[in-house]
Amino acid sequence: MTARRAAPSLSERAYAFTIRLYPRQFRDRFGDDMRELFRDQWKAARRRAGWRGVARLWLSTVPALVGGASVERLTAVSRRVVAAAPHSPFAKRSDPMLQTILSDFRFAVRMLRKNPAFTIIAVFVITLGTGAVTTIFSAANAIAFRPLPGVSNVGELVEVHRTLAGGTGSGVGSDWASYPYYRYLRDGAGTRTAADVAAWAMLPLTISTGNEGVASQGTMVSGNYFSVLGARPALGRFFAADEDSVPGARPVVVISHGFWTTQLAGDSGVIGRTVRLNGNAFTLIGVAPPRFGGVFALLRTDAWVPLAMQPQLGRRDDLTNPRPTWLQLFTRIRGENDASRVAVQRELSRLTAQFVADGSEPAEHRRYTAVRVASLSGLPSDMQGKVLGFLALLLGASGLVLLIASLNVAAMVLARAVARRRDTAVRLALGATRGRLVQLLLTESLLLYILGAAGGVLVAMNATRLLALLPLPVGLPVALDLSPDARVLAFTLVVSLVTGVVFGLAPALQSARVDINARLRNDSAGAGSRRSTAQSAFIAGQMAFSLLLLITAGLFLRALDRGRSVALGFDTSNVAVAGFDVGTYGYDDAKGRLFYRALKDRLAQTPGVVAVSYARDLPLSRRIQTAELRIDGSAVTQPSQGGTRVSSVEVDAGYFEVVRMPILEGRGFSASDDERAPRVAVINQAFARRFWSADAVGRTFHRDNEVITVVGVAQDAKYSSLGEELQPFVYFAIGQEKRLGYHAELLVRTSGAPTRLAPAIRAAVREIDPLLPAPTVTTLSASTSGVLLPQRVAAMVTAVLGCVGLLLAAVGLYGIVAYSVGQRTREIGVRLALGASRRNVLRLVVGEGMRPVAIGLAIGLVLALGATRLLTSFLFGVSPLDAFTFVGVAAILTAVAAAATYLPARRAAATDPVRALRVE
Amino acid sequence: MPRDPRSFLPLRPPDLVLLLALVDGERHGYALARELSDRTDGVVTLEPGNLYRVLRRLMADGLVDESEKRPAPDLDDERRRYYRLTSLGARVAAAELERLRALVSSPVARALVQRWRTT
Repeated sequence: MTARRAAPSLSERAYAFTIRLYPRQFRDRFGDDMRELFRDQWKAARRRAGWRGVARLWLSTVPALVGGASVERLTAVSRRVVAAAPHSPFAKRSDPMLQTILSDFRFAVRMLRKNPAFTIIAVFVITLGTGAVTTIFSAANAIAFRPLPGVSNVGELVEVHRTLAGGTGSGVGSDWASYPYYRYLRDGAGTRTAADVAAWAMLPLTISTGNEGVASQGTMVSGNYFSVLGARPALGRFFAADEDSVPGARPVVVISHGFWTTQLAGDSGVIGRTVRLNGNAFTLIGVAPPRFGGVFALLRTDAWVPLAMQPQLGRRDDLTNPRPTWLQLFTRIRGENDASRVAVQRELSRLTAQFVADGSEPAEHRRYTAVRVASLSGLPSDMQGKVLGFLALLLGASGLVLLIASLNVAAMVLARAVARRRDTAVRLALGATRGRLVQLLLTESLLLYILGAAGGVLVAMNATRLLALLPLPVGLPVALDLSPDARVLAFTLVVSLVTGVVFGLAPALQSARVDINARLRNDSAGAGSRRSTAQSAFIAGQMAFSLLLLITAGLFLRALDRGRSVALGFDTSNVAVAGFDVGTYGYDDAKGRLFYRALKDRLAQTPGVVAVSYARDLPLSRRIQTAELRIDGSAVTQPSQGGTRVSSVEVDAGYFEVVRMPILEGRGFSASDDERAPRVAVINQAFARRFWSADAVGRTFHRDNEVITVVGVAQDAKYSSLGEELQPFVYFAIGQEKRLGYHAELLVRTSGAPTRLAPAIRAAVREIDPLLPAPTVTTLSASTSGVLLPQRVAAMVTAVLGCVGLLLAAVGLYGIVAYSVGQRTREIGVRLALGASRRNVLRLVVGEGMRPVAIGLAIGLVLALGATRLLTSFLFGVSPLDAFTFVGVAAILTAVAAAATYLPARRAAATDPVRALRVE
Repeated sequence: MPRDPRSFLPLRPPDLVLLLALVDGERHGYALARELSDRTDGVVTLEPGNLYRVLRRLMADGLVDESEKRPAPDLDDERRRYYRLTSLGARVAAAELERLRALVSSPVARALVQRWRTT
């Protein structure tokens, strides 16, 4: 059997090592079985969810293992206490390992208390390091790893995506499903393997519990939504099956725990009460569990209503119309193994193909005949890779700070070991083994790190609160709780213990290597070249990592600067914006048109308004639509029979004036481009160049069966992100689209500050329809600034980390130079007495101090040359080897290091030779 | 003389789940860990050491017995130690279920379930 077994994995070996926390007796009996069981769990986790599953396994194993082992050890101790009593049945048992640890621990506490200054500084330095790591990990944990609150067995839940026949190449639109398609899947899939397919969609709501309405975030959900998630209500109940079957029949609502406590004072008598959602009466039937947020915990939701109520709250025909795709689907797979997963995927694909064959869908959906299931990640699937990469980057940066702090403390411990050489020698002479000495020193180091970890958690608790204040892209109702949880605490404990061992080991080994005879004779000459080599290495390391951090920060700052000056192709200044979802207030298409027309007319007459227009979505809002176009008279071959997919947005007359986007040929849209007029479009330069090369105005393309004529060419611009390549883009006339009741953004160019127009906009809306909620008015520049968020966060975080790192490195350098100057007082006195000038001494000390700095800078530069390439995608074209940043940062670091060595050097130069020689 | 099964009651929830998992026959550690996680909606943590701590207690009480290692067909035929229910264990589990049934069928419990049913 053993011959077939593969070599143990890293995880397995790590686990085998970690179970030493359990007492020997326990390990002797169960150790092998435990390792085998862990290997089974590891295999299963890896098969199910790859490295993410393994990470999750470790995150749950470590705290449990520490807990179980502590209980076992404590039980062993209490047995021994009992054993101390005569005639105890446990009399023979004892645990020598624990005994040693306890005695080492007591000794370590005594030593640290004897040197309060050293202890405080060391703990403070470690606090900075672990604080950085804990803060970032805490944020990453909250964003990517925290289990969904209130949801049971998250591992069984999968997202359902519709894909092309091959199972690959999901288009932007295919991540969403239409209601008829969803019903088809649900009714067909309830059968065997797939338990239940659930659906949801967000919608803005105004909830009135009394007189005042509260602008809130709602989610429309299928009747089985809560049961598929396995959630239990905090109060009342969730939806019954019949509450999601007949459209409009059962106006019931479940509210969030947060809404219940803040808006309804946590009153348990609210069940059965009537609340008004967008003006419609709904019966409150339940309260969701605390922090429950469905499949994305990061998005805040205040209320859930059945999908069957959609006609009352949204567009009227969405429950019957197969065209709009607005639902996200997920299901639960029992058993969590590959086979059932594949079976579900096959079953849903079969149903999808059947649905397509029925032929009730519009042509553009029919290519998507298969289904892919994907593990829930707590992040929208298209953002996942980017977000994880970004978090890993920040985590790496914070890891560097911990590294710097650890090197710093290691250098301090080493310096102190010199002072304790005699003590060490006596112990060795009395028969202590070097192993025991190392263990003793390690215990001290671990104690320092545990204290530092506690401080780090305190830092993180405060720092995460600051991080959460960072502005996020507007338009997303985010419920971000970055504060550390039990998993973060476990992570910090493990990281600091590992760091404590690794960085405690080097100085401990060094100091245990003492020449007993020389020490006992009290020979104080020469600090030992090996020790000073180690110290230089510590300094060089700190400098290298500080440099790396600061260069990263510098590059992000440069990118931020570059990003601000990227030519957008339009003018964001002096534009007020406000979003409208009148469709959710019972407006149909015609009524929506009237509303938008009336609002535009009214605002156009307001003083200070230069131009007014609408757009389906704001530029750079990352919600880019695409359309499949068949281009007439183009030499470019079309990728599929549907045509070429081109990004698009629908805008109203006056749009190009409001955002000051030049029309280079032809015209922009006018009020006469309405439903009755021939269909028109404005394209960008890239579109014209790509498909026709010249004379684009007057040419035509097809969208489905419509013929659309190009009436103008607008200047190229940025549409969804600053880093994007130039791409063909098309503007349609919003007045010619059938679905005006959907979301629309109002854009108003003003002559003065755009925010001053907010009251006028709100007043105008109130006058036209007092039942509509007052819109939130912001500015175009504020809403587009979200595209720089990653750069802003990264620049800020790495700059803070870089400064902390540099400060630590500088203080460490100062301390070591000062210490060695103090040790060498006699030598310097001799030099001065023999005729060396003060300048010579100054040069000597600064020179010796700066040598490891220079080495560190060289190493840091090499590291940075290799590492900054990873940042390329965040830099908007700033070179990852940007000379300005590299030279600037190196200069700053050199200057700081020079100052840190100069101060003690000056003191050395001021030595009074007479006094120095009289010492000893 | 065997102990009165009722003197073990009430059982801790994981103990009961483990005993029940062994009713159908012998199981090895991994099967038990999986069972435990499935039956408790993944709430019970499965760190191997903790599983064996529970097993050790059950064995000390004579509710569970262990076998020699032998191949496990579902795990690449590697050798595993199997655990089985002793007759005392079976009687204890039965007694615990009896106790729970009395609890569940009381009028108060029924009314409570009726009122707060979750789905």
